[in-house]
This record gives sequence, structure tokens and C-alpha cells, in this order.
Amino acid sequence: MVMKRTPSTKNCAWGAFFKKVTDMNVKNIILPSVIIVISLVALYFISQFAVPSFQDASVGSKFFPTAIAVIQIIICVCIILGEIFHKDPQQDSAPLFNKYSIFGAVFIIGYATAIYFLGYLAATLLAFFLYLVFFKTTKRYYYLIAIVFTLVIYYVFANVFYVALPEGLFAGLFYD
Amino acid sequence: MIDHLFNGLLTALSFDILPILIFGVVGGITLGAMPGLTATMGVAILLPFTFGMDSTAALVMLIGVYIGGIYGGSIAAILLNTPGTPASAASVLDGYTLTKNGQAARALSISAISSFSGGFISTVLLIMFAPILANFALRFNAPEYFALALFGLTIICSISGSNLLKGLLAGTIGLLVSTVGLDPITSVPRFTFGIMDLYSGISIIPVLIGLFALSEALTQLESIVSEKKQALRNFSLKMLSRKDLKDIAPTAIKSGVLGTVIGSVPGAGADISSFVCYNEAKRASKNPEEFGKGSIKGLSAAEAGNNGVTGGALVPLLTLGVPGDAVTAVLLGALVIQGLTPGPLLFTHNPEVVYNIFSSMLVANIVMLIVGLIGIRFFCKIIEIPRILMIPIIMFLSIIGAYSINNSMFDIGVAVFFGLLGFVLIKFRVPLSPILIAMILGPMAETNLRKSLLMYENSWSFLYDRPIALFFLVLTAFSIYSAVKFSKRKKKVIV
Repeated sequence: MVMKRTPSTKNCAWGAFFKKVTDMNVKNIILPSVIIVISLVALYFISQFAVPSFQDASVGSKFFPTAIAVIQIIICVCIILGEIFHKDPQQDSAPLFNKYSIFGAVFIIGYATAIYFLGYLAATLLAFFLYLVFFKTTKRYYYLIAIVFTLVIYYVFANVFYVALPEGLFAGLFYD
Repeated sequence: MIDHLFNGLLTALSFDILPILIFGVVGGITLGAMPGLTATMGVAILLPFTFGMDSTAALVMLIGVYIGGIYGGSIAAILLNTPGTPASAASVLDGYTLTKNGQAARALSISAISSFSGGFISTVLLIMFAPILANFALRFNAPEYFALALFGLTIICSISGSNLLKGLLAGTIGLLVSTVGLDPITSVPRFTFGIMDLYSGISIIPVLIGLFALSEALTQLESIVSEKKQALRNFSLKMLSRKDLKDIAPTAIKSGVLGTVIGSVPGAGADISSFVCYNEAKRASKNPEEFGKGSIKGLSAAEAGNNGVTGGALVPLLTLGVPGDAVTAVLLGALVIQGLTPGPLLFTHNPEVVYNIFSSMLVANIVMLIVGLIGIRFFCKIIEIPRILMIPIIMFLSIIGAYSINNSMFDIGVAVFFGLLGFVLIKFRVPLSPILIAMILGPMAETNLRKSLLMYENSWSFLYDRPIALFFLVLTAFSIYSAVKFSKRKKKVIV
């Protein structure tokens, strides 16, 4: 007669826990995990804050940031535990980003960098044209709108609001 | 008060200011009408245009954008079954049914009149009650402001929707960001890493431009290719009749008052108000079965309800310096840029500014009504503006706007960083408004807590010694309790 071995209650609980961990959607724990790491780094920097010798208050400059970082870690742990034990009914398995959002992110960073080197006029015209080319826009008046928009904004900021838009690093080299 | 109001009306109707107000209202309606672009985004994008203006012109324009933006959201809701802003989601229920029946012009005119009614009533109530509350708030000292800031931070709980923890997480991100710079009491540098630009802290304007304009533009970009072009249905240009006006009048007035009350509660925005007013109109109606099937009373309630918030939301902002929602947080940024500090002292130090705001709100609502009724045919064209062109324009304006505050490349970096952060957080369904509200209220809470402790020689007794502070702390506890309860109930509904 073969005796059937039943797992202990403790093993069952751990088994169920690991099943839940493997079942859960990993993307939902990425963000809280990253924020926990950032909070820990913040706590390290908080410990390095200078302490003024004349301070006689019980609450100093470290109190608020420390409290916030600790609360942040607690919230993140709660989110992760919540994800393990109560799966979010709204979650989906679609990828977080598509090629257009990645293009958008690169586009914004690229434009911000270009404006630093090329100045507003050249950077905006270049970026607008690149954007229209990326989306394979064939309508000519879209390109015309890009030019008109760039020039109108330049005129309005310079002559109506008296705000000097960036000239760019290269323009500075030419003027020198 | 009457003198100030009269002078404010003269200013709002002057040749210098009126065109700016009209530009603001039309700009707000245009942005609000485009699906996905909210009133908050509209105010954030157009904020940089106000830097060169004097304070009256700047605030008048932004008020116009705010009021126009909330109304503009209903245009896409009625014509395309796609709410232009979350605030007009309730307008879809009856508005689009009217469009399907070929009565789009009637629906749009009902929407314009109801929005006007809600906004106007709300402004009148704001004018009546805000000075009284501001007068009361003059008694506040550091402990009261600390308790008020704490209560204000509980707004985060109520705007977090079903996911309270993610809302709180966003709040802590905002609080942590607000601690960057010199400590407000001892001037100890915090998280500055030797970077000079960080010593004065992170400016709110580039953060809000990043969070509400850039991240939204990125989100729109993602869906731009997959979207199908929605064709407008044919409709007659026959507007509402006198009988319609008579039918909707009681509902519009009641919803305007209700919207003002809801708007004055921090955390309850135009979206909540429009649904509450819609449900109330349905409950009170003799024919509730007509709601959702093209009921003009339903449409009127939703529209008067969401525009009713415009005046109500300014009550805590102007009297206490506490923004009730994202758009008033952006308006707070605009006031600060103009060198004005919202709060009770604004009423004593700059009464002309306060009454200019009140007067321009009254005029903005009238302008919105006129523009809304005359421009029905024109606004139908707005929703057909290709978003593929609007998105880069929003991005460029955002980045230029961030730069023009201090002519600083560093601010561009801040806007881009928060734009990308906001986009990532949207992906993880983390709400963005708590970040901004926490950034505004965090320093207020910290500074006043530490001042209170210094006043009370390191004793925490100010928390229960002072009745007003205690009152706000009780409100804080109640607010947290009700938000947790609401969040649990909402989760159950989703499951």
C-alpha cells in the first residue's frame, strides 16, 4: 500500500504565495520597486545634510524629507503586497510603450538639446520638419504651417512679450 | 466691495483687457474642444504667454482659458461622443443622442446657455462668500496654516480615484521634490548636489508644464496613428426654442448652485460635479426614463454642474491659498509668477486684483455665451483640426514656455524630465495632480509646522490648543476616512 504524502500547511501557504508571485504582472511592481530604491538613495543623502550648530528646534531640516521617504517606502511596499495578494482587475498585458511614444520621448529630449546648441529658430524648424517626415506627411501646407508657427512664436515672444528666446551655443560662437 | 467690483468690471470691459479676455475664452474653447486636451493643459500651455503681461491682463486671460476650456469640452462630447475633457463625460449621455437625432445645434446652444448659467451663478456666489471666508482666515497663524495644509494634502486622497495608494505615492513624489533647495528655516541645502539652479528649489511652472502638457502630448502621440477619423453627422442649425429655455432654466440654476458648492470642496472637481448634478436632475425629474435618451434637462444639468465649479474652486484658492484641483494649482502658479500670494492677505493687500478676477469671470462667462452661440458652426471645424499638427505645437510651446519664466535652460530640463516622468506615471496609472498639489502644499506644511514648534517651544500642544487648527485636523481625519471608504466602494464596483 502506497502512503500518499500530504504537504504540510506551512508548505502549502508558501506554495500559494510563490504561485501568486509568479502569476502577477511584473510591470506592476517595477515602479514601486524603483521608487523604493530612489527613496533609499534619498535617505542616504538626507543623512549627509549639514546640521546647523545653532538649531534648537526638535524638528530640523532632515525631519520632513526623512518622513516623506519612509512613507514612500511604506506605500510602495503596500502596493507590491497589494499586487501579490489582490491582483489589479484592470491590469492588461499590453506593452507599456509603442514606437510612437518612444519617438515622442526621443523627440522631446532631442529638441531640448537642439535648442541649447542651435537656438530656437533653427531647432524648432528642424524638429518640426523631422516630425512631419517621421509621420510621412505629404501635405505641403503642413510644412508651411511649421514655418509660419515658428516665425510667429519668435516674433510674438521677442516683440510682444520681450522674452529673448535662446539663440543657441553656436550663435554665440559666431558673434564672438 | 461694490466700488472694487465696479472698477473691476470697467477694467474687464476696457479696450486693453477685453480682447485678451476674448482671446483667452476662444483659446480655452478651442483647446477644450479637442479630445484629450483638458482645461488644465490649456491653462498650462497658455501660461507662458502671460509672463510679459501685467497681472490683470495675465489673470484675465487665464480665467478666460479656464472657463472656455471647461465649456469647450462639451463640444466634442456632443458632436463626436468623445468628451473633450473629463468634466464633460456626463454631457455625452444626452448630448450625443441629440446629435444623432440631427439636433446638434440645439444641444450645443443648450450646453452654452447652461454653462453660462452655471459659471455666472458660481461667480456671483464666489463674490458673495469669498471675502467673508478671507476675513475669517485673517485670524490664521502658523499652527492653523499647518493644519490647513495638512487638510489640503488630503485632497490627494479624494483625487486619487479608485487607487488611493498610487495617488498617495504621487503625493509623496511631489512632497519630496518640494524639499529640494534651501531649507526654509535654517537654509541648509537639501538635495542640491552643488548645482546652483537647485538652491532656489524646483520651480512649479516647468513642473506643471511637463506634467500636464508634455506628458499629455506624449500620450496623445501614442494613439495618433491608431485613431480613426470620426465623421461629423449632418445636423440642422436650429438652436434651442423658448420652450427649451423655460424647461432647462430651473435645472440649470439648481445645478449651478450645486456645482459651486461641490467646486468649493477641495478635491471635488468638474467631473465629479457634472455627474452629481446629472444624477440629482434625474432623481428630481418627473420623467427620469428620458435621461440618457436625449434629455435636454440631463445635458443642462451636466453642463451647468461642470461650469459651476469654476467659481467654487477659486474659493479655497483665493481665500486660503489652497488649490482645490489641478487647474487651480496651475492658476496658483500664475498668481505667484505675478508676485501675488493667494490667501486672505490678497484681499487686504491687493483687493483690486481679487475684484478684477471676479469681474473678469463675470465677463468671461458672458463672452463664453456669446462666442458659444455665434461660433457653433466654427467650433464644429475645430474638432477636425488634425492632432498630428497640434501635438508638436503643444510640445514646442511647452518647452519655450518653460524657458521663458527665467530664461533658463535648466527649466527646460526640468519640464522635459517631468514630462517624461508624467508619461511613465500615466502608464502605471498613477495620477499626476497629487504631485503638483503636494509640491504647493508641502512647503506650506513644513514651514508652518516648524514655525509652530518654535512658537510653542518644541511642544506639539498647538495641535489641540487652538480651536481652528483642531477643526482642520478633525476635517483632515474625516477626509482621509471618507476617501478610504470611497476608494474601497469604487474598487468593489470595478471588480
